[in-house]
Amino acid sequence: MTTSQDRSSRGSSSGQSLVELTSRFFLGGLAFVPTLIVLALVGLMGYECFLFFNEVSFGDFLTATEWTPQFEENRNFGIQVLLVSTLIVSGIALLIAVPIGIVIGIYLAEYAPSRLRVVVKPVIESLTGIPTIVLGYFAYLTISPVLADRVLPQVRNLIGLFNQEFADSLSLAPFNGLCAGLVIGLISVPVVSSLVENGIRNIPDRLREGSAALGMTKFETLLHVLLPAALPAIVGAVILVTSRIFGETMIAAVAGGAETVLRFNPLESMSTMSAYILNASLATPSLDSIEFRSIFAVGAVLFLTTLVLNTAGNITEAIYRQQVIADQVAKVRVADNPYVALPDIRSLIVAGQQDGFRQSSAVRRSLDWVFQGISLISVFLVAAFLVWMLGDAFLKGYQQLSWAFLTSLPASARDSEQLGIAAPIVGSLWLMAVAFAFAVPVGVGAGMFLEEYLPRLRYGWARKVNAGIEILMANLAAVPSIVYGLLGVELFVRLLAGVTQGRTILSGGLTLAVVILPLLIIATRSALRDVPNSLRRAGYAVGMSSWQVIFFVTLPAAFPSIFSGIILALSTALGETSALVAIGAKAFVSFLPENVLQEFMALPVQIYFWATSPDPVTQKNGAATIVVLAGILLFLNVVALLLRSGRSKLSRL
Amino acid sequence: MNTQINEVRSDIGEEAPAFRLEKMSIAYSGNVAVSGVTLNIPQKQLMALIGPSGCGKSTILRSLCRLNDLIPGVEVSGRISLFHEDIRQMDAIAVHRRVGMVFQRPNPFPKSIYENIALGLRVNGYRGRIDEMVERSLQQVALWDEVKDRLRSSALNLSGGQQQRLCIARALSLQPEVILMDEPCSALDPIASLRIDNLLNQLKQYYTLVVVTHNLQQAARISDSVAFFNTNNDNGRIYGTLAEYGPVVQVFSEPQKKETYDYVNARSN
Repeated sequence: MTTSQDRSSRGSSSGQSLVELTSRFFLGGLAFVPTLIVLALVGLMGYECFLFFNEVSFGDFLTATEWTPQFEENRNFGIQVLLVSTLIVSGIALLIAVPIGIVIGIYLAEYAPSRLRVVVKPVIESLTGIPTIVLGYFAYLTISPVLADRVLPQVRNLIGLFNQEFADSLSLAPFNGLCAGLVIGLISVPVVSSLVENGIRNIPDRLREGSAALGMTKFETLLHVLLPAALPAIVGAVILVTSRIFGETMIAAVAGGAETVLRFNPLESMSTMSAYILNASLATPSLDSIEFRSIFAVGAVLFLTTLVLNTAGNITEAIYRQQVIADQVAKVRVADNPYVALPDIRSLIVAGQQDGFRQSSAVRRSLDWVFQGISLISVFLVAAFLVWMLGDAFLKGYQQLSWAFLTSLPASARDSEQLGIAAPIVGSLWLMAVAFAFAVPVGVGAGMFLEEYLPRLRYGWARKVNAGIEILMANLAAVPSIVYGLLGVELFVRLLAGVTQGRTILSGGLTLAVVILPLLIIATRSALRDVPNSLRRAGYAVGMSSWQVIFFVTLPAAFPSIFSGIILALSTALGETSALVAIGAKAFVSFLPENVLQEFMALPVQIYFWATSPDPVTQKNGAATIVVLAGILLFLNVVALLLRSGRSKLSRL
Repeated sequence: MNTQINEVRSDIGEEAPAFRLEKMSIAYSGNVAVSGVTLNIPQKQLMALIGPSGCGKSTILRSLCRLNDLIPGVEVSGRISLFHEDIRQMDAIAVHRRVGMVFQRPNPFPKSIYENIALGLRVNGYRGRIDEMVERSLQQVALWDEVKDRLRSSALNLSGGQQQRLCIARALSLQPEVILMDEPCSALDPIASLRIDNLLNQLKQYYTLVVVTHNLQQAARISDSVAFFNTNNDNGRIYGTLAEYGPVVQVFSEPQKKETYDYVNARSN
């Protein structure tokens, strides 16, 4: 038996154990960074909120029914206004995401033939890879007019049959909560469906066999056995998606509008909390104004809401996973007494009396077909939305695409015919370079520490620490990126202004690093977890010490999946809009940045500014930029997918 | 070989076999798992299916109640008849009801003890009183006295042996003609296992039982007849065939084939 003490004493040269100690402390330090981020987030946000509530009474914040920070006199900060809009938009989104997501998740787990599944799953999940700015733009420019011109008249006619007056009063504003909610709901479908699918797949096959042997159809098994068993997973999925929907920023800001008025009608413009933060940041208020502080007050509400929801969701999921494991072992081990006399059972036997059951197999089986029909319609809806959106952007934008468009600087902000995207492309490249220079070493190092060093302590307090870190990471990954944008403004733009020179590439890149750090840590950990333990043991067996096993055995084996995680983080960072808007990316820069201390533009931010422009040619440029960005992201996602499929070779070891 | 069976069964009359398998072969996506099995399974007896790992005995057992339907890519050829009816022409739900199945590891639903039995009855549209059938089924496996005061507590709180008896009761509640068991004691301790053996010895007077087992002593204790399956190696492709079957005494003490002799006396080639 080789214990860990054996190992460290066997690495006899003191030089080696010094390396061991150094790597352990260095990686441990990196693993502490996420905790620092949480502390910074809470501290800075708390500080700004403290200043805010010095000027605005907490009672007014809760009870006022107006939100008018721009007024010189009679300023009101009634959070209700933003909260009601957020709830309405989120409610619409949940009505779409939850039923469709659950149906598709069940379908993928239980019904879909494997050939169909390998096509449907990536198509559905690719929705999460599309930058939300692109979706917001699509909601505002395409879906909203279709709803207003085609759908609304039909609805009016229908309602007119009952109540003409009410029907006439219906009208759809160009910016409206309905569109925002619809699109947020559709892109949240994959979040629900993949969680539900995993939850149902985790249920051991023995239960399916047991119910099939009792003559239950697939749908009956689902309804009576699988869904009750997977209920915690489904509840967890709904809570987690609610938090995602609450924090969704760009779609709400672009399609929902910016009017901060207390309204209950989703056909009108309404600003959610996250949309308010974005729009208020755009106005770049001075760093000590009450407007600026109000952004943080709203950010704190958003942060706390999502924090509570995420923690609840993650705990529910964790309890479920433990439950599934616990259910596989009998809890009570009472020895049976074999000498108990068996009762005479002759009188009890009723073998083979089949007329005791109603014969209605056909009816019972038809529910299977009904459910599959509903699933296929749901899948079709989501896929059609995806195709419509990509096709629409391509048709609108491809004429503008040219070499000159990609490589020229905008001659002037006014001349829309001669706009080029060289500045945002170079800006995005700089941002990626800065973000990855910071996030990759920290993320991979912290992931290695958390997965390879910490879990050695799987008992007592250390187990609780591990579980806490797990939930902390999941929480960090789910903090709305607009909240990280606020952290960036306060920390990098303001406090570290001496280093970053304010609203520069460095500030933007560091903020993106914070956004992708949790993704990288999670990807690294799951990649390392997939490395079979037999490989590690083989390393120890040839006399390697812990750090040698990690660096020479585990890390190389996990590298393809870590790399695929890095690429997915890259695509997230490239599409990230709201955090950069909060940091202060420019709408127009007439030079290519040459170092990290300059002002910058970025591709998604460029789309944001162009797509909302009233000028049709500028809008086309926006569409062309979408095609460019979507092309890059598609390429990155395919690369990541190929790398991940390479990983399956490893699992065969 | 048929004649041997008929001789033994003469003492229980000329009843038709419960199952008649004719030239059955089963393949998983083109790979033959078991080939050319012709076998009669007598009524109201316990037949044990024995043989080395990979000989296809569990595969055969699962196809007797059409549970292989659940797995994509399984092809069954030949004919399986249950009291002269081809089971593949029958409604699958009816087959599941007439042929019960108990699995290797106890698999109670994560529900109450009561609900574990009532669910199958309710879903299948049982016309009688469900409470009564729950009690009757639990009594048949001698579990009623142990659990009657806590019918509403979770079945997962039972011991492994109790869980397995609950699963047998669950199968009995649908009033099947045949009950198939796939190594029902392999996950249990020797005492719980002995108790199941006693139970099977009693049940076989009323039901047709087919039990797959790796435990030859168990086979000897509980079975009336034994079918021995063996693996064959055809240029690296391993598949199972039925080597020999007959009354338990004959297979164990006067096997017709050397391979059977070697297996039951634990000798390898």
